[in-house]
Amino acid sequence: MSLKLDTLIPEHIRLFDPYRPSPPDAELMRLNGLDHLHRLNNNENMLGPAPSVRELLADIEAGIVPIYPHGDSQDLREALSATLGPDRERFLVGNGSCELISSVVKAFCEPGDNIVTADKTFAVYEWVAAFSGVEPRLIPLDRKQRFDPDGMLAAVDDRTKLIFVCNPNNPTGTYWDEATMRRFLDAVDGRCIVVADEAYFEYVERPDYPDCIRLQDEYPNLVTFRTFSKMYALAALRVGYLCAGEDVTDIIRRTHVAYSVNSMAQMAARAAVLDRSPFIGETLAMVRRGREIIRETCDALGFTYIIGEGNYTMIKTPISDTLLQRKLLRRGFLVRTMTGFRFPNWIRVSLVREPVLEAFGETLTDLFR
Amino acid sequence: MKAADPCIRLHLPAETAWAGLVQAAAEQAGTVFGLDAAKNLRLVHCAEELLLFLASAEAGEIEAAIRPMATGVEIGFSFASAGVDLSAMNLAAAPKTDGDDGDWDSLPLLLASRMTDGFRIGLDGRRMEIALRVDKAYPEPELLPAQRMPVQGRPVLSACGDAAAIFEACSAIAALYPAHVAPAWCASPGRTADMLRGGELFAVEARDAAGRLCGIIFWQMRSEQSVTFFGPYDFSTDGSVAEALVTALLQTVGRTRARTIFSNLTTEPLGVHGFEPLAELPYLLEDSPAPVMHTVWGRVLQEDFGATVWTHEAFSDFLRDRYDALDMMRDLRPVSDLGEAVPPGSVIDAHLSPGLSEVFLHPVLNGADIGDNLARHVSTLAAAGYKNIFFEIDLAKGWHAAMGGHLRRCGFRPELLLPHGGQSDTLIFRHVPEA
Repeated sequence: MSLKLDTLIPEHIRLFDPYRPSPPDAELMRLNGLDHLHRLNNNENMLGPAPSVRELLADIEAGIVPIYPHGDSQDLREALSATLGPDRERFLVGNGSCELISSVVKAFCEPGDNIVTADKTFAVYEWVAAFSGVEPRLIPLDRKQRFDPDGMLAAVDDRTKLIFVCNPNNPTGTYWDEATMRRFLDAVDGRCIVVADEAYFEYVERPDYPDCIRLQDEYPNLVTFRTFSKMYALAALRVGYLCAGEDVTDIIRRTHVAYSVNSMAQMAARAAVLDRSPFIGETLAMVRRGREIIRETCDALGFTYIIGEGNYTMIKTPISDTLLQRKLLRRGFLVRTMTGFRFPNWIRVSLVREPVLEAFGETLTDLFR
Repeated sequence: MKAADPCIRLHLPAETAWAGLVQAAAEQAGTVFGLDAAKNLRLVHCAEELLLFLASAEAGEIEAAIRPMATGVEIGFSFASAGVDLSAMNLAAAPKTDGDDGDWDSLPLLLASRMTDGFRIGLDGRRMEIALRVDKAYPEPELLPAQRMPVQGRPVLSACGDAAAIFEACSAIAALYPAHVAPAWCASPGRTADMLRGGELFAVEARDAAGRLCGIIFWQMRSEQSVTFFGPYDFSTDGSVAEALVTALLQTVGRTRARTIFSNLTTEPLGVHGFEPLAELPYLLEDSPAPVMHTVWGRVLQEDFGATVWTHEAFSDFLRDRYDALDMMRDLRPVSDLGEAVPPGSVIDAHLSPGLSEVFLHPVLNGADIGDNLARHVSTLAAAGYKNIFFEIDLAKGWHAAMGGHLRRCGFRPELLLPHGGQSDTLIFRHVPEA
């Protein structure tokens, strides 16, 4: 008997290419003959997690493992409510932001609908729409590499259910200030859900950067995503959350998988929210120094770069980004190539500890001097 | 959800009594799917000859599938593969067809393979599929005159699929570029437009502020993971359009499943766009006493973290040098003779491009005669006047790599490594008669 998969698979799944993660670090080091590997590819915060989170994780006993996690992360939502203000019923916790993106698309979209976002941004909005049979409408960034509010508004029609705004944008680090965000939300006028993905919220130090949770009182169609994977340095535990009006959150919860966030992740995220150590300030100082190192390195080499918000920068490369990725990997540095973000021949570099970025700058200089 | 592509399927025994049914189905399908009378007759004969061959091979229960393609119709037969010798599919096959000991069983397959415009053979577990393609007949109209143009304003780029625009582009390519950098299908704009419509070919065109076509670039999926492109064809007087075309190409394919992109039909050096020269292939052409050098430009589209590939001592040194030059980590695993049984007859696919005097050979089915079969192909093709003979192996397949010794003995040299060119990296050999 032969299995005729072609007759079983929807076309939008057949045409979809699965994400291919990199091999485990140990395998990469073996293949490349390395005794170290610096990860500058996933915007992880290698300074973390915060001391109180480290202590909590060290003290976790194996006895909690046989027991299911809390089904909707109630303690964590209480902590988010106490820290950020909105009632706990307005928070929904997920297995990273990617699960939340999927839940939102499932909650609001059906075949024939569309979502609107940018062409050069976090790819998961486009991917989830595509493999859900929903049309992703991708609007080019403007000449300053920002989301184009007018272009996005022009793409909205009566089948548009969601607009994803990555703020600040990954990978360009550009952002909409509060005035731009308000103008956009006013123009949308409640016709569809606007998702403000604030994965890098805690990294932005600009006074005009909007807090979209705060704006929800005025704009009930606004949903805000945040994550514990970036600033809070809990990437391995996979925790993200969204905040929206209570009725919107209730709709999204209906499509959301309960029990998807494990107990250790819930406990660590709660501790991170409640942590009052100087950890975040130290991270911001590390990132500021990282920007200086990249700027100095690129200026010396004559390379074009984009330094915006977030703990990452983009560098235009004189050779293909994928060739430079291989050259850097053989020298112990992982970077993210940008051809897949529709920025051919750019790389994205995470801003990590100073000695690592200094070594990265020296390696880059050695390659192109 | 989009409706499934049309396909006519027949389940039947491989017996000569069913030939009439298969012929009738092919005739009706060919008409519905747009073949003219002459081409339809070929399809009908292919269907009949394939069934007769499978009947003589006692292939048992079979499934026939007739499908429209962008530029023609394909008829495929799938069957349990045990014991069926397909070696008559080889371009160089010459079964003995006289006397009492003639190989009469293979004759129908030989006839069918010679009446088609292409074939493919697939193995899915223990089932095999032979599929033959018959192309539509296209007119080759007189092309429009063209000359280079000053571009007004900033060009606007968009996907191209309009037949009239394709006609204009093909005309400009023919007028402004040498024949050896123009793909063969450019001579037939109707075929090109059908390939675009059917998703077998893709193109981005550039138009200036006055709406005039000022450039185009084409590409197609060469395998699940590799893209080959043609161009950029820049019709401007100052060469200002090419960069935007290449960037648009990379932005389009960069978020697809493609892992590598390359071309040996480029119109200009592409190093400035991040491409690497992968090889210099000397092409011997009819109208040129000296070889024309074709630079193969390529680049990887996705991050590469290393892999394992098969190798053979005949080309291990070449692989090591190339992987080193490409900064690409690979574990090279030498093939070993395991003494396993293989079928007697091998099959080699041949893709002919007479305009370039070029043949691309690919191993399709392993067989005990693979070395002799390779030598027969070289001899047949050389006798037919083909001067540029290439052989491509996929380094994911140990039996491909194991051909290293045969290739060396037949005068093939490794010349081009294509990362992710097939299931894994592919290695292309060029036949060098004096080697």
